[in-house]
Amino acid sequence: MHLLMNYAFSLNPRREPKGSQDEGDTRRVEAVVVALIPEYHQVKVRDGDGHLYALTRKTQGVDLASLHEGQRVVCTVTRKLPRVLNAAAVV
Amino acid sequence: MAWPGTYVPNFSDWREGDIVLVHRTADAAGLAIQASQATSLSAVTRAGAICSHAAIYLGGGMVVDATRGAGVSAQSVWNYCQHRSIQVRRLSDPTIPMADIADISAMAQQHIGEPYSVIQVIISKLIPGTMPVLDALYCSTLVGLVVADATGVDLSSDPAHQPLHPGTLAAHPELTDVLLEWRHL
Repeated sequence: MHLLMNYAFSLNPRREPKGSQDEGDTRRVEAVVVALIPEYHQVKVRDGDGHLYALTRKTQGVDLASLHEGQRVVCTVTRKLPRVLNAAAVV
Repeated sequence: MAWPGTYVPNFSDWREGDIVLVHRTADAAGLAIQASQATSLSAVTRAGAICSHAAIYLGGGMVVDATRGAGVSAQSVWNYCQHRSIQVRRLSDPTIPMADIADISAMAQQHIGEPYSVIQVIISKLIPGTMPVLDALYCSTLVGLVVADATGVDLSSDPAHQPLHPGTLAAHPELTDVLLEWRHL
């Protein structure tokens, strides 16, 4: 039974990425800062499934200058065309 | 700038911030990029493998792009379309504010004068997931960074779109094609 449930889960096309929570048109993801790119006013973060997101000057809730590589952040991202609406550093 | 050709693309249907892609560049760098994309692990990049260059449309028949020799510079679309086929694409999500779309071309112009590097292509092939090295820009790296800066959209978000090659942009599912027409002057 357990194996069957695992198989059914693997077939679910709406399976969420690791560490994400569904909130309709957006979802919350946990990610780690992997690159600081001040020349382009952005910080790249990566979630547990390898998806990259850009935190930019237009991202609410986070000061880009205060982030460092390896830092964990929680982001609210749009479902279509991944765009981070707001983010918060995990302290 | 006066258009040198007899036929002109339908620039009136293009928007500032559109992504202009060039197919089948025949120089050594272009051939290396096409070969690299054709053997990519990403089906998206393989699907767009004939595309070897990416630029940002500025309006008025001009683009900003990163090229070998000139670095990041503004030049006429004519320099590409007189000998090669082009493709024009744009973000498909209507919820992105038009002001942000307009910012793409403005932000691209801020990087004019920066150098170009095809080394990034090689590094990204050897080390998947490598972040952009900003000492020198690869053409599609410039496009990806500028689009993200202006709109917040990371076109390399999906692991299948990393690294972001010109071919990845050519077949990217979140971009739509702008119908290209040629009109007699």
